[in-house]
Amino acid sequence: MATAAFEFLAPESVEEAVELLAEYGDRARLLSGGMSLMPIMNLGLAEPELIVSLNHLREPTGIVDNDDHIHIGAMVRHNDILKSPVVATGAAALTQAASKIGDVQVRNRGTIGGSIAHADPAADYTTVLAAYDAIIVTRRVAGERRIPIRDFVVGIMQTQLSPDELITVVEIPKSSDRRFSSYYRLARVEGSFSIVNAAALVGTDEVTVALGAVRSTPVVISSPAPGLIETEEALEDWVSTAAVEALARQGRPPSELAEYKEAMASVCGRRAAIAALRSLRSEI
Amino acid sequence: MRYVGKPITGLNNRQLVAGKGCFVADVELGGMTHCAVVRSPFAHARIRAIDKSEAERVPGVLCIVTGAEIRANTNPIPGSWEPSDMGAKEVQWYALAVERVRYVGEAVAAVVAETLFAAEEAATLIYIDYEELPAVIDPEQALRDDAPLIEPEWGDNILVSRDFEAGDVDRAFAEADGIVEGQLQSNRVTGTAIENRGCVAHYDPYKPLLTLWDSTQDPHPLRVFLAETLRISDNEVRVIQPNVGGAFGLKQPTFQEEPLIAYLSMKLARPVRWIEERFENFMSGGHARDTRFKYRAAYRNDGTVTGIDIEVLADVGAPTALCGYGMSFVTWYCLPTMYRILNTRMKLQSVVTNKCPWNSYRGYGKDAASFVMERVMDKVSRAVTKDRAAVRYTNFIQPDEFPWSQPSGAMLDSGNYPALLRKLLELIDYEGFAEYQAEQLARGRRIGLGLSMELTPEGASVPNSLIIGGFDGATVRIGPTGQITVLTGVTSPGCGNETAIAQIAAESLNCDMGRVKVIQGDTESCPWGLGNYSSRSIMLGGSAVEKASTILADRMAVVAAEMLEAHSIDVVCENERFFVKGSPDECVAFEDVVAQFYRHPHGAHMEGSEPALEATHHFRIDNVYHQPEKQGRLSTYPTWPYAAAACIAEVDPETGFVDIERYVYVHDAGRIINPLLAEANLHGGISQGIGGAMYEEIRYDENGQPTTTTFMDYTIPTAMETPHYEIDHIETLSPFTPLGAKGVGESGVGAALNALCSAIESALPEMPLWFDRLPLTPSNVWAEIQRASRQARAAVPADG
Repeated sequence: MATAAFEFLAPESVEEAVELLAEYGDRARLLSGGMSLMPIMNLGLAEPELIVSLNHLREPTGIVDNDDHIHIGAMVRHNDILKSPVVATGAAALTQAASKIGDVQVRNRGTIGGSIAHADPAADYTTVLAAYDAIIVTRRVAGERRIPIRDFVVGIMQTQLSPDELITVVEIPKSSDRRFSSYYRLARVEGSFSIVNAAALVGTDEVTVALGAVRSTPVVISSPAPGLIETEEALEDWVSTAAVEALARQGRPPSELAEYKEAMASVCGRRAAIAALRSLRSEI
Repeated sequence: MRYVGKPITGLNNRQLVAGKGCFVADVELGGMTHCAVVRSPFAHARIRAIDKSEAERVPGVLCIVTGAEIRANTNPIPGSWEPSDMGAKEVQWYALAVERVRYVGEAVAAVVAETLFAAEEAATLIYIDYEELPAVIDPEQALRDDAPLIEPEWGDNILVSRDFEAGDVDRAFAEADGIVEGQLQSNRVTGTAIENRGCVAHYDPYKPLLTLWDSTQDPHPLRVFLAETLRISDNEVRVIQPNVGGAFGLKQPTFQEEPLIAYLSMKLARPVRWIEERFENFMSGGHARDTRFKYRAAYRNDGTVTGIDIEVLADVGAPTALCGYGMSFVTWYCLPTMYRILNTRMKLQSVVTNKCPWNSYRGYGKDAASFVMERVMDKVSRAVTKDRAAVRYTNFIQPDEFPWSQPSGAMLDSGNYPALLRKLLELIDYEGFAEYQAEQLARGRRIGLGLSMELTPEGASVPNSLIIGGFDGATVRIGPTGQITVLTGVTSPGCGNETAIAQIAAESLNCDMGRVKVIQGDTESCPWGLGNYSSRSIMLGGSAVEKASTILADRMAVVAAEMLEAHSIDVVCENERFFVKGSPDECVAFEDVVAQFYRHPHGAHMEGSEPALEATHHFRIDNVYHQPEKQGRLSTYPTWPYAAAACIAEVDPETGFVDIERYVYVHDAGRIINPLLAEANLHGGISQGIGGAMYEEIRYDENGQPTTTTFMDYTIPTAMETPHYEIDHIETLSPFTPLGAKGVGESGVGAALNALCSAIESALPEMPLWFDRLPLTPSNVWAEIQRASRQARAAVPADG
C-alpha cells in the first residue's frame, strides 16, 4: 500500500530533533533505519504527520570501548555491531544477536536504537541487553535520562520512552568478573523473528540468563556462579529450574505456541548457558 | 541431437538479471490511473448499504464502482469448464460481490484515482454496512445438517461428490492378513510467487479495442472470458502477458480483478492499473491442498496391498469461477497412484467454506494423492515389519503392464517404477544408511532417512472446456533472411520454456539456434493456445513447434532438391546445408533455399511450392478419453510422469527442528529437452514441496479471519533452509509426443510431503512417531515427539 502523506524533516543535531518532538509529540515518529517503521506505515498501521529522520544527526554514532562500559550510539547499524571487534570481545552475545537480525539489507539499515525503541518482544538485542543489564540513555528537551533496559521495556512494543524523547546511547556495563556470553535462538527461517531466544552471561562470580520472546519483556534469572559452573549438568539443572520458576511468576501470554515456547525457553537458556560456559572454560 | 537434451542457459537470463524485464507493474501508458480494491473484512456477511459519498470527495478520485453497477453492466465470470459436466454445483460470481460476501478478501468495491495514494485513501472512506452472517470455517462443520449455507440455494455445502468402487473391496478386507487405517490431513497452502497478481487495462473506443496486460498464464482463454463478461466481441480484446514473476498455476484466470480492471478502463476510457499487495494475495489469490483423508488398507503379510478404501474431504473455500476445486477431483482420480491395487473404494467430497477459494497450485491435487498413498505404504511397511522400499516394490505397477488402466478410468501411458526406485536407492546409499545412522547416533546426532514416490499426470484435458485442453498451437515463420520467429499458444510464467522451444525449433529445422526468436503471450500475434499449466508447454506447445517446424523443413527440402536436381526424399539437411545423402560437398545453403521462397516465387525451383515460409500447427495429444459412452472411460491426462525422493534429515528431538542433510530426487518425464531448465524447475518444485511439508500453512481463526497474511506468519523456506538437491533422471519416452516429452513443471512437490514425515520418524526409531498432518513445523514435530515418547514410556505396544 501507499503510505499516507507526511512531512519529513532531517535535523542534524539531537537538540533540534528533541525540539521537533517536543512540538509534535505523538504526531511525529522517529525514523532511524526504517526497518520497522516503514512496514508499519506501508500497512497503514501508523500515519504520522511528521517523520523526523535521525539519519543526518552528527551524533549519536560509533562504538567506543570505555573503562567501565561499551558505548554504542543509538544510530549504529546492525552490521557495524556485527563487525565491531569491541563488541566481539566485550559482548560476544550481542555480535551473535546482530548476526541473526533479518538479512544483509536489513542489517545495513537497521539500528540498535530503533530496534530497542520498537521493543518487539521477539527482537534479538533486547534479550542480550537484559542479560547485561545495559543502560539506555535517552534525551528530551528536559534533559537526559539513564534507564536500565530491564525497566525500559515495559510490555509488548511498549517502553518508558515518552513521545518527546529519543534514545541516544546504549551502554553495556563491564564487570570485574571474568565472564563470557552467548546467544541462542530458535527461528523458523534465517532472518525471521525468534520463536524464543536466550542470552547467557557466565562468569566465575555470577551466572545470568535472559529469556526472550516468551513473555512480553525479557525474563532474567541470575545466581552466584560457584556450584553452577563446575559441571555442565549443574548449570543446565539450574537454568531449567530457575527458568520454570521465573516464568511461572509472570502470566503466560495467550499463544497457540505457548506450551512449546515455554519448553523452548528453557532449552534456549540451557544452550546459551552451556555455550558461554564452554567459552569460559576454554579461557581459564 | 544438436540441441534437444542439451543444458542450454535460458535465453532471457540476460534481460532478467539486468532487471530489464517488463512485468505488469512496468507497463507505463499516458494518462495512467490507479485502482484500489475494497475487500470484505468478514468471512460471511450481507451487504446492506454502501456509502461512497465521502470517498468520492477525495481529490483525484475518478470513479467508485460497486457490485450493483457491475451486475447491471457485466455478466458473471465464466468458469473454466461446465460445472455440471463435473457433477459440480454452480455460482454466479461477478467482478464485485453482489449483496453478499463469502470470504475475507472478496472484492466489494473499487476506486480509480489519478494517484495510488488517492485511490487507497478513498478506499478507506467507503462505508459499507455489513450484516454479519454465521460462517463455516471447518469442512466437517460444513457437512453438518445445521451448518450455515455458503450458497443458500444449494441446500448443502457440497460442491461436488463422487463415489467409485472397483473390484471386490469388501472381500479384499475380509480376506486380508491385516488392515491399517487412520486419518491424514494436508495443509492449506499457496504458491507465493515473487510477483503478486496485477493488470493494466486500456480501452480505445475508436478501434474499438480493449488491451489487458495481465500477470496471467492463459491469455487466449482469458480473452474470450473477458469478452463474455464485458459483453463485447472477443476480437475487440487483446490480452498481453508481459514477463511473469512466477505463477505456479495460481494465475490461471479468471479472477474478479481481471474483468473489473478491464471494465473500469472501458468506463473511464483511460488506462487503469491494479497491482496486488501481498496481504491481498494471501486472502484472495487462491489456496490449495487443504484436504482430510480417512483411509483403510487391506494387506497380506508379504506387504501386498489388496484393497483400499479412501475418503477424501477437501475444503475448497468459497465457490467461484476459478478452477481450483478441480484439484480435489484430481486427488481422488489419481488414487491409488503408482500401485497395483485392484480393489478400491474411493469417496470424494469437495465442500465449500467461507475461506479464500482454491485456485490451481503446482501439484494440482496430485501432491495430496501421493501424500496419502505414500503414508499408507509406510504404515503397511510398519505393520508387516518389512522395509519401506520393499513394500513399494511389491506393490508397483510393473513396467510390462503399461498402458495401465487405473480403477478410476485413468490410462497411465508408460513408466518403469522399479528401475527408478532402484536408481534412487543407489544414489542415497540406502544399503549403507543403517551404518551411517548408527555412526551418527554415536556422535549424538539423530539422523533419519525418508522415502516417497510421486505420480504427476500432466497435460490435463477436460471435456467442454475452453481453457483445460489437450492441444496447443504454434506458428513457425522463417523470414526472407532466414531468421526464424516462433509464436506459441503456450506461455512462460518465468520457467524458461521459451529456451526449450527454441531448441526444438532449431533441432527440427537443422539450423543454428541463434536464428530463433520465440514470442509468447500476445493474443494479437500468437496462434490460439491455452497457455501454461499442467506441465503442457513443452509436451503440447513444444510438440506443436516440432510439427510446424517439420512442415517447413519438408517444404525447404523440396525446393533444395529442385536446386540440387535431386529427389527430395534423398535430400538431407545438416548444419544448415542441404545435400543429397552421401554427397555433402555438393550442397545448397539454408539461406539460399529460404531466398527461393521470397525472391523467386515464380522461379524454376519454386514450381509447385507455395511462396513464403510459415506454418501453423495445432498439436492434439492422444491418450485422452472424452467419449466414455464409446471408449468406456473418461481419462483426462495423456502423460504420467513420476518420481521418487529420498532425504536424510537430522532431527533435534528437544526442539523439533529438522535439518535436511541430503535430498535426492530421481525423475522420469520422458525426453528432457533441456536438463538445466528441467532441474531448475525441479529445484523450485522440491522447495515448494519442502515448504508445504515443513513450513507453510494458511490459517484462519474461528471467525474466518485469515491470520497468515504476511511472510512473518506464512513462513516459506529460503535458500538458507533448502539443501543442495541431487537430481537424476530416467527417460521412459511418452508414446504420444513426437519427441517423447512428458512434463516436468509440477514434479518435486508431492514426494516431499511423505519423504519428510518418514525421515523424521526414521530418525527416532525408539518411539512410535507417526505424522498424520502437515506441516511438520518445529512445534508440531515437538508435540508429536512428546506424545510418542509418553506412549513409549507407557510401554503401550506401538501400533504405528
